[in-house]
Amino acid sequence: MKGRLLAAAAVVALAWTTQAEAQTTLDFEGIAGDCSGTAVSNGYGGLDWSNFFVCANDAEYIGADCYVSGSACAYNGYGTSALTSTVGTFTFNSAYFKSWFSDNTFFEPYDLTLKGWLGGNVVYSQTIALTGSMQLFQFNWAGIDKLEYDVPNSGQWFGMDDMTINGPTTVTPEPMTVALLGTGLFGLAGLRLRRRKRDAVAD
Amino acid sequence: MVASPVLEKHVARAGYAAGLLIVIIPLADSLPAAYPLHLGVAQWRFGMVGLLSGAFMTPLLGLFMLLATAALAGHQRRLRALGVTAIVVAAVLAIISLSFLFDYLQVHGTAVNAVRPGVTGASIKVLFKLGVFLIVSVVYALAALGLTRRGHESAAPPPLVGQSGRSAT
Repeated sequence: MKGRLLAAAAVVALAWTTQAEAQTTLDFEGIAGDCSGTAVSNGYGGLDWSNFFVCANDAEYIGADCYVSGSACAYNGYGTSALTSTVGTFTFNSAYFKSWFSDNTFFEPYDLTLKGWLGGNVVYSQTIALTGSMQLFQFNWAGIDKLEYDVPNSGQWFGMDDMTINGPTTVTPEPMTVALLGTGLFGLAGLRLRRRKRDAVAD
Repeated sequence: MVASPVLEKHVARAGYAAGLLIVIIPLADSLPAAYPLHLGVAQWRFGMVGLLSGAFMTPLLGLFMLLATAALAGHQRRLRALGVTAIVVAAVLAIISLSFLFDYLQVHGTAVNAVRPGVTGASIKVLFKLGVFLIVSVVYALAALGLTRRGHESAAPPPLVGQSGRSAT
């Protein structure tokens, strides 16, 4: 009975740890019919959105390439920083970005800094160089609860489309982790060698 | 002050129940925040340790309550088990602190310049908290094991027959 309970608990724990999230690509379609400032509502894609709006069916204004798929893309309101967050955590895999407006010029290049937060600490950060054309940027930031899109100065707008979240990420062993693991194994090997020598002397 | 052995038993039960609740509930509350697990990702580990570092304080208070209950009730075996638990907790905290330090180096190394001071500041705060919790755990372990040893010494049979007040048969 005890063994069965333990086995059941192990199965539940394994399922809990290995359950995969569902990969989603957010294309911002069906939220707005024009480019007059409809906000992305909280809950879209399972996320909360702050200062994000949708521009649809206005390729001339935002540039046709902003519509990577369909006829809508998201942008930051008022040319200021924007946020995406969730109660739990999510993985930010990739998104298409472009500069819409900067330095009083349409499609002027500028640098956008993205910050991935977890529990009130920045755990990921990357600065991407936006140009006047849509470009795909890969991030693969696993387990964040807030994503900040930080424009360097107010009055800088960007367009974003086909944001992929909760997709798989490939984990490569980092040098520090490998070093730590190696040190541990080395220590264990040393201990074993020492014990063998002690046993040999005792015999 | 406990008036009778029966009352003592009931008070001890209540103390254990309250202590267990204080240990288990905050840990159970914190677990969902860790889902889904990304143990292989340094940035996730770094953030998660930061997030959960505050959640260790209440369970340590619960552990103290369990220790105090066991000590006052004279439950030597439980006291010893709790002492060993405190040692395990201290060891886990030491491993987490070391891993966090390595993860900090990685997160700091990949962070953009503007973010780095914030990462360092947050890491110092987390390491300080973990260090304090580690010291508290060691103090618990020493107290529990010390009391166990003292308990064994006082419970030891008298060296000479008849010294305990009973006549030798």
